[in-house]
Amino acid sequence: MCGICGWWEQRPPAGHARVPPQLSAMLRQMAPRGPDDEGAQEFQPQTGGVLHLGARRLAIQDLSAAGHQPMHDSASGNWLVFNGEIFNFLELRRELEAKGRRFHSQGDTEVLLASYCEWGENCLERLRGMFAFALWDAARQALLLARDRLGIKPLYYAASPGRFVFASELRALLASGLVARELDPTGLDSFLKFGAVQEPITMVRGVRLLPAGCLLRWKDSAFQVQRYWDLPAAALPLNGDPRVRADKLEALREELDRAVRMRLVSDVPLGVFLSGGLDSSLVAAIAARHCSRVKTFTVTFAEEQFAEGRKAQRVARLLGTEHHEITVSESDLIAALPAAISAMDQPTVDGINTFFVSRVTKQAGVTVALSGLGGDEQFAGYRSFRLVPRMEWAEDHLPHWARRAAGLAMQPLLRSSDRGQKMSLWLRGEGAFPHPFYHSRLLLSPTQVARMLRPERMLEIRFEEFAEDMARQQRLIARHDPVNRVSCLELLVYLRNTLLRDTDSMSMANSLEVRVPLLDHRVTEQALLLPGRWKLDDRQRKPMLVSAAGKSLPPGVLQQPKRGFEFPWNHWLRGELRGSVEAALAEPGPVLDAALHWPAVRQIWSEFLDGRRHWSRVWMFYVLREWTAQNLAA
Amino acid sequence: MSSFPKRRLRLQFLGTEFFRDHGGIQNINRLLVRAFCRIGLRTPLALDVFSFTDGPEHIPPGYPFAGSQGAGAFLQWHTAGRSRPAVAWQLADCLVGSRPDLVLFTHVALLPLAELVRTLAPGARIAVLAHGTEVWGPLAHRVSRMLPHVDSFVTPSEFTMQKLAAVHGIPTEKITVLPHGLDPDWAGSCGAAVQECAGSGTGRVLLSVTRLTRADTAGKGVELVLQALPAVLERFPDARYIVAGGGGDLQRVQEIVRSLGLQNSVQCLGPCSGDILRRAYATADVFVLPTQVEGFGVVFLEAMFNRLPVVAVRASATPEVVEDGVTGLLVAPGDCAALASALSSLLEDATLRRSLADAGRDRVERRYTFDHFVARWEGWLAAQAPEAVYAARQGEFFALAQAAAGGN
Repeated sequence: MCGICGWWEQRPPAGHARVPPQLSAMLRQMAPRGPDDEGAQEFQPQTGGVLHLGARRLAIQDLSAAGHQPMHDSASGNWLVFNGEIFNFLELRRELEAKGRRFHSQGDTEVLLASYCEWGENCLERLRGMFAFALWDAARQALLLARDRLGIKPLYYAASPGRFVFASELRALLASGLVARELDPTGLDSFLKFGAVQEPITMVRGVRLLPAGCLLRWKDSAFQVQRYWDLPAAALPLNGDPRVRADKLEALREELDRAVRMRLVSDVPLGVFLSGGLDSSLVAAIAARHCSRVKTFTVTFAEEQFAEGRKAQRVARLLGTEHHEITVSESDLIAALPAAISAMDQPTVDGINTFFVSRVTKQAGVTVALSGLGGDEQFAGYRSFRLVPRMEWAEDHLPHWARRAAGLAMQPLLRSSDRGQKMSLWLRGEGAFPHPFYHSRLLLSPTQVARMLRPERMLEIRFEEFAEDMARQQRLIARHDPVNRVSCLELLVYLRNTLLRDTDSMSMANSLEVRVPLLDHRVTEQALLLPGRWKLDDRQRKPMLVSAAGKSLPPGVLQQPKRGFEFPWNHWLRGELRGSVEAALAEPGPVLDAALHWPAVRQIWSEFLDGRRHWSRVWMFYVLREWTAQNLAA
Repeated sequence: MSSFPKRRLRLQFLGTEFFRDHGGIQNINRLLVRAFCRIGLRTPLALDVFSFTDGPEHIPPGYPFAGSQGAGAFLQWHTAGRSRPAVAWQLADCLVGSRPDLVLFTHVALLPLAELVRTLAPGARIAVLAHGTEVWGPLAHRVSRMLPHVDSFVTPSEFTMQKLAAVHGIPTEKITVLPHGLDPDWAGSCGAAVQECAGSGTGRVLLSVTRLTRADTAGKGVELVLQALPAVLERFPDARYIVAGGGGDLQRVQEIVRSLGLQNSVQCLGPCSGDILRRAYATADVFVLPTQVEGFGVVFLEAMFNRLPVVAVRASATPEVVEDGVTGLLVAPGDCAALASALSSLLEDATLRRSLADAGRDRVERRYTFDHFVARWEGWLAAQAPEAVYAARQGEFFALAQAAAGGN
């Protein structure tokens, strides 16, 4: 795991070997991502200008200096900077060795470099893992940037005349001074609606996040982005034959087992996040089957009413893992909150929990942790899997006027809660989203956002950019059944832009690598090829996952109710945190003052105190206020 | 999967007159229609324009989209023809049928119709454009009683804003100042006229462009220029003064010219077509209009755009448009000697003329082009109807996203 960066500028070479300050600043910003090593390399493309590559390294596999980056392939002249893990690298290595290639290190970086030399861009199809990399192709005099299929590892870039710059972190680009610290109204709009900026948009004008499953080819000052992978376009047309179902379940079980097993390879201490829920318990169970002494970690709360440590303890005992329970109190949280907010690469309504789990896990001596992320999205674990198909049905069968009339009639009843307001909005047809799913993930409605934005900022929003990605999503889900449609959208909207991005930034801020075996792309493909109706059962949550888990899990785990791994914000924001949040929301700071009508934000705070707003609507503005103050300039 | 119909910003635009006569208000009304049509290309609009004076025959076919097929689909003209009640009936029908987000009155004289808007479209915001002099003094009761029901006032100048606040007690937070801009067609064709007339100027040509009605002549200051002219001619005997513009007072002005014995130095062009006007600007060396009744003064923009230094007075909205000592010279209102002195100093000093002229052109290009005008009105619309503008802009693209999935 690493932080990578690069910078091409149309200028003559500096004429000395020193790393330019812009690149140094990017590397320094990413130091927590890679505390073990740093490297930089300068090139002069034949087409002109100067190209720099840089990397910070968190050594996970092959801890020796042989894993140093940027890594060079002397035969081809290619250079590579790489962030992530290729979990099938041993398999690829064997294949390459059979073709006569010799290796000098034991890690996956050299395998990736050799794979490109052997198969070119087609090597992407063979990679199984989480990755973002930049590869200088000496023969083509071109730079290739690529990002993993599901968007686990980020890669930001900014292009302007005579300049191209990229990095694993948005804030690294800001640190370089090569990108203006300017708020992007399109990013702000996206954040206000969804609590996280939807890729490829970012919070900074001119900076883009390379979309998941895409590669970017840069050559001679120009670049193009191309998709190399996407989610399956439709489930298999399977009937209810029990034998077919059993076969598919067996295949899924094998894939899950392989996905977890591959992610147990590490030259540094490894553990599993264990909340006691189904997904993390399944990952821990498979890991325990393949490892003799798996360490499991649970974060619990000092406040008794929020504690769920006993659930995890029970699972750990049944699985026989070495269990670590870390108790967080309100005062612990408040003390560490500035660090957690500072760790956000982009503002997010979520992520603080991941920061604390990562921090305490790292402090317990672990450098790699496995997480059960992805289970809810792929195996219908959220409420949206029941709600959104009903909304779809209503859109198909009820005329506009009937929905609008129902929305207007129920408005007084629905107004009292955020969820009710969203329902009312959908019924009245406001927002005009092309699918009802988007309503289910809204934090603020378009109407609320419109009232909040200053007009000149609103007019700068590039809706077309967001809609372009949305159009792709709509094409993708068109042939899926209603349940798998929600699954695809949960993966593409919430998981990718909130959960995975937060997991990356919050874990890397603590120099911890988090691996997500349930998001192995083969698991994802298998899950989405199964009919949606197999994934819902009135008696059992996530029945497919439960069936695939077989006897790996103790019965008690399967019956536990859904409980999000969530801090007691509602309680804290009215308690110890109230003073600092209230002070922050008192005034917007210059960046947000130019973008938002701040009295509307203060109104939300009052409504929260009156019990009419969910805590997330307040927290998002606190985070936004802090993040913009730390990272942007008016 | 079905979706709700695409949302448009529904705007109704009520004007006294657009084409039937020529004058500042008509020009601004037409410019506004063009601006809204430009805005409509980015923010989906349903625009209904009502004229209470023009007949259908006065509206050029396809205006303002001639040559741009299909783009005018969102614009609907409603003209009075022979009957104002008929257009009021159309307005009522539109208010009920299309439930506008915003109704813009482009003259306070139309405000009594706001009662109709309040009754038939209670959700619509009511806005009124106050050009200048018409709101500087007391208003008829049937108009003033509607002022409290206006949600937003727009004026082209701070001066008129202050008048609205002081004379009518309008809270300043309800007033937005949106300076006018140049007609893009007019600006575009000036270059050719300048080329054509280049070299014809003697460096001694003064120009005023104004309508010569009895009400206007005194306020606009043409008489004052005529009074100052003999002093100018003493120093520059070959100087000429051109007055471009027609009106009922033209004959009286010509009589004053004769009475002052200035026939050889003054030329009254009468009503001017665009071409003649452009040539007049191109021929002139100094633009002079010591008006005391300017709500804005688009004519100053035209002069500055044509690289003419301006001589005017420190009164009404003029100092907001003409920057004293930078793009022109401003004198005290009614001060004939100061006016003569300012004109003479400009006729004498080519370097000063050039410097003021360049600064004037620069000022217009930086603040008063049609693009600026459109941007200001677009921002104003977004502030007046944020939810409708947002929904229309977002919905446009989300509809495309839905279409991409084949309507799924």
